[in-house]
Amino acid sequence: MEGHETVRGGLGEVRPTAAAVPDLTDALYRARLGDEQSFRVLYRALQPGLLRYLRGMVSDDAEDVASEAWAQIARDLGTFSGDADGFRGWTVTIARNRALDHLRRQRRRPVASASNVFAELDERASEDDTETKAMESVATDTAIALIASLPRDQAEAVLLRVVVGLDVASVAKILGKRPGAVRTATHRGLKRLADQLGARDDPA
Amino acid sequence: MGIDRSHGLDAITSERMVAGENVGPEALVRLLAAATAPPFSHETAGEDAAATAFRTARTWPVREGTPRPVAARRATLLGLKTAAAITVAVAAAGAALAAGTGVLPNPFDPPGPTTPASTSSDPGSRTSGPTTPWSSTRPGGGPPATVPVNLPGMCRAWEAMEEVDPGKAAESPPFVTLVAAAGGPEHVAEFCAALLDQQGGQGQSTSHPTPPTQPQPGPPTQPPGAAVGHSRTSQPAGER
Repeated sequence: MEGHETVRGGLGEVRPTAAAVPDLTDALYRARLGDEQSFRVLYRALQPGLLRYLRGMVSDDAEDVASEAWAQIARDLGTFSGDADGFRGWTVTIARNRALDHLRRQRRRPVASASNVFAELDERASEDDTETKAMESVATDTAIALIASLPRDQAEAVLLRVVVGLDVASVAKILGKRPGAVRTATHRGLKRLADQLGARDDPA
Repeated sequence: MGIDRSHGLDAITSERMVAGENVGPEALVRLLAAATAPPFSHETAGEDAAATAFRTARTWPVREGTPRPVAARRATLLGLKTAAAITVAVAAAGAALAAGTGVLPNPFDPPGPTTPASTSSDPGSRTSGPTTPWSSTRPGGGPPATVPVNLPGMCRAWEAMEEVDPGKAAESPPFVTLVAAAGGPEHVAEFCAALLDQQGGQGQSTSHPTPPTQPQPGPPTQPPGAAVGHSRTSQPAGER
């Protein structure tokens, strides 16, 4: 088996991630004491990764679901006990539950199809074509959409491990799976993406 | 690593890619780089709304049941949780509404020092063999008969992007699928024009009226081992 759980932070070049946060211990401590600025630090550190994960889960409703999640995080912060790593997993669990609730309400499939997301993306691109901001994130949005088009277990594994930056154990806990299953889902997802991206040379 | 094709992506390489190492298939490296690009300012546009929810939660009357520190004291809030939940939900809904109507900070405020995703992966630092990122392409410029991803959607996104910032889309990792399908970035326009025409004219290929007749010069440099098919069986079979 792969068994390389320790590569994080170890070898080679490490790509900057949306969730590449430094130590949040201090901010977490102060936020729990009621310090709003520290809560904002937590938000700025965690929200980009959360939002991208949610975009993979609920597509264009990601901002709304993220708002719900942060309202709950703000409300329940005092009930959380644990360290900064645990806090990241806790926030993702809340966001995931809000996303699943949302999907139940919407009676939609958990993972949006790539075609849907591309259609939305297309609309947004033409609406906002004077906004460089939107253009800047098109590549990221499209990448998330491609990941989201994977089977759901693979999509979630890739999103949580790569985009949110959680370790295998945390993802396993969040998804209620064993670490080995998370690794397998991740690998299958990446492999499928690679095939989709690389198999363009197939004759029609 | 010498692994440059999807068919060679093994479990170890997957784990190394997850860890952020610059290994694995080029196109996938680029896709992951885009997915993990540094935060955009609009992604944190809900900060004030979240802070409002935080303030609201903190100003709710606290029943000082025990002299224990904050963590324990918060637990005594449980009795108030339901009421607080309603309050916060209302506040959050209002905040979200405000954000949606532009009352809260404009998500399109001036761009920060974020770097384009395409710069975060350095193709030059990798040993990708004789192939270039775009060389593993299909011959000819015509659209494929079957597409596992929404190429028309990508085409429309590409065209929208080209109108705003010509050349930018070609550097965007997620468009590798499209570029590869077209046979190179210079062929995307005609490829998309043909594809969207074939789709029954539902896509307006306004900026690229070129007829899709130009043959692609030169043979495609398809690596011999990059044949089709999904014959690899290197997946760990154990856990499921």
